[in-house]
Amino acid sequence: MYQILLTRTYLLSKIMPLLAAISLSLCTGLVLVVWSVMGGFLTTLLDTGRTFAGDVTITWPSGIPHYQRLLEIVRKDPKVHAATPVIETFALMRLPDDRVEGVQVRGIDGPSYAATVGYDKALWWRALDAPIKTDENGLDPRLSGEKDWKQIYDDGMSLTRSAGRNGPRIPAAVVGIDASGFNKLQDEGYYVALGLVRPTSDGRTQSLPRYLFENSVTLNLIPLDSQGRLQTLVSKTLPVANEFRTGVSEMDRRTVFVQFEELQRLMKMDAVPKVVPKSGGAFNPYEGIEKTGDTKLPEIQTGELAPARASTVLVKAKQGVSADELRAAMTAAYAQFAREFRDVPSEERLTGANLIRTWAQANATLVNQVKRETALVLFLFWFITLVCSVLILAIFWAMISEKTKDIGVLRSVGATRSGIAGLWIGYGLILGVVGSLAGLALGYFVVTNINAIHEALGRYFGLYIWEPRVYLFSGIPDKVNPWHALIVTSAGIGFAVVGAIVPALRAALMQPVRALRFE
Amino acid sequence: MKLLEATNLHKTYYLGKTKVPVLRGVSLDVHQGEFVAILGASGSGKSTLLHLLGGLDEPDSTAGGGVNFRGLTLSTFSQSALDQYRAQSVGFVFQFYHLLPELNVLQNVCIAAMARWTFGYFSRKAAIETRARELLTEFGLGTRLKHKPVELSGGERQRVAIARALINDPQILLADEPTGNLDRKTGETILDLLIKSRRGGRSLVMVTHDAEVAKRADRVVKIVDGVINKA
Repeated sequence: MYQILLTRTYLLSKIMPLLAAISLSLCTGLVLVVWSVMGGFLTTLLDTGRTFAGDVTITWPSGIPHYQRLLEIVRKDPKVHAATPVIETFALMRLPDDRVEGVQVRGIDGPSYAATVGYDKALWWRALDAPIKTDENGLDPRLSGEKDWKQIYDDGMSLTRSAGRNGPRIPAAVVGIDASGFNKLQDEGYYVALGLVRPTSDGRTQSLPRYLFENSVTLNLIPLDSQGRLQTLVSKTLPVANEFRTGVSEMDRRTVFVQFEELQRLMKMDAVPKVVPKSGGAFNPYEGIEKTGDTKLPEIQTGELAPARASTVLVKAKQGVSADELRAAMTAAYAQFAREFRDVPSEERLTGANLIRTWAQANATLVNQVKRETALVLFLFWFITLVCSVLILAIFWAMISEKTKDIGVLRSVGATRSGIAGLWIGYGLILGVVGSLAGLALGYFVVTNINAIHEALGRYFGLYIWEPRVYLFSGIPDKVNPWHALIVTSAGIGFAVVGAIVPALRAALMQPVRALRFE
Repeated sequence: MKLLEATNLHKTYYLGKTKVPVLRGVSLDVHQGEFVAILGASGSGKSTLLHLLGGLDEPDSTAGGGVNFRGLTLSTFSQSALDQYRAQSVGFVFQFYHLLPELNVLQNVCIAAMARWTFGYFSRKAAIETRARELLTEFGLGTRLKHKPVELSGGERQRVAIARALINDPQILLADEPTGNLDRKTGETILDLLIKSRRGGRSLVMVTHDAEVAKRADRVVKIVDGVINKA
């Protein structure tokens, strides 16, 4: 058919439409990059949240008493894959080189925490069978035999270390890999220990053991009782068992894991003798202040034990169960738990304060912000792609003016109006396919290499756009969603065809005689 | 047999608000196998008459005239039927050849067949290309099949245009000043080709301003100021 012949001929001989195809490819590639990065950011945010914060959390600020019974009830639920108790608090962490950092401390039970969230995968120092993909030269220290990486990994899982050679196991800390400044991330994606020094009192420096897990950290904790009242400050030096990396910048810089029982003891959240403020008569917070200046209320030992507490119970859903479905199930589970004990907050109090929630709900402001930004940016870039449609319209309009006589010739040999229109719409379709596929390839290349490109921009031009502290993650999302790719490619083709329609109609409706006489 | 019958044809063009009557009641018959020359000066309406005969344009409907092809009135044809009339029954040859510049010689000839057959072209492709090669070889262009129009002389281009007009084996050839852009010798060659193409009973209607060219026709019709002046 003459449409195929002429389309192929015009495609190979006309420059302007190819330029339109190039602009279409740039636009579709740009939309794909933006959608992949922004959409990938949102997906990574939600996935990482679910991976490292569980599908659902049940939280009470001063701790949930009788949490073991709650765990029993939760673990029996058919929608639950695993559940684990966590204690969360804040501390000032003193590092081996005497720097002090504010951190979030989490008391965890290693094995059940690993079953619920990706703790085991996050432990960094471990034996590797093969180098990671980007480490082409195999320089990752974990490939070497310089340390007993398996033991160090096991220490991280148990959150313990040996006290001296063959000594007893003692509680230890697992620190975020970017928290201490001991490590530097290489371009190839692995960390190397820098080997820091510590200033001494005589003005000199003392070299520290190279790896953080060869050192200790001191945690200065602020325990609260079950009523939320301040207790005595606690300072505890713990050896470091291992370090972890989640890819979430805030977690990797500001989180320390400690053995659950150890933190529970330090925070006085274990079963302790129950005390209550002196009762009877009106409450006078200034009682005793004249003599001692101390506003602490006199306490009475009841002879009972206050039940052990956990700040949070993290729950992971079984495959195929959504976070929202699990939340509904956990609300029911907690209601059952609350009916069994008088001294636990009621289900209404927890749900009223939104303390049985999915990760997305807990971070709704951030998630909605990201969704809105993604939608806005996408709208803007789709609008830019629409400009391509107008560009194709303009170019085709000019081409049809140039080809007016040819259109008259085709009509004179019997070409139909629909055939003429089909020629130009088909040409637009081919340009759309060529441009959109090129854009897809370009977008795919940029997205999958975006971190390397960003690194190169920074190194050669000083242009660092992705800031982990702002965007939460160390790396820019670099995965292309196949559905997004399909939508972007189809839309690019659609825009090209739309741009060709009006010129095609113009060509089809031309009077043959006027076309033949056109100068 | 009367192949084409034009009766009381009127055609008016509009230049803004100005009416320009080009044909003012022209009637003309063309019989099968006949060579009719339409002789007239520039602006006399002869090309317009040719366009109406070929279904490229429509006469003024208010005047009541029309063109009949084998007894069928073209003004009653649907757009699709008119396209088929031009594709199957008529072959146009223009003064300025009107070849498609991006296509080579063979493609320029075959394109008329592509327009006729649409999807059916694929099953007929080999036969059509063979026929195109035969025509072009007969016209002395057998070795120029891959050449583009820009690489041909005026006479060669006109020969390609004639081959294109003949590829669908039309019953009528309509030639609009086919030698008008050529030197005398080349024009003679083209005229010979056109006359030779009438074998098999094909009719030829040729528009010209050259009386010497018109002499070779079976019948000459003079048109002056949009009206036939029988010579």
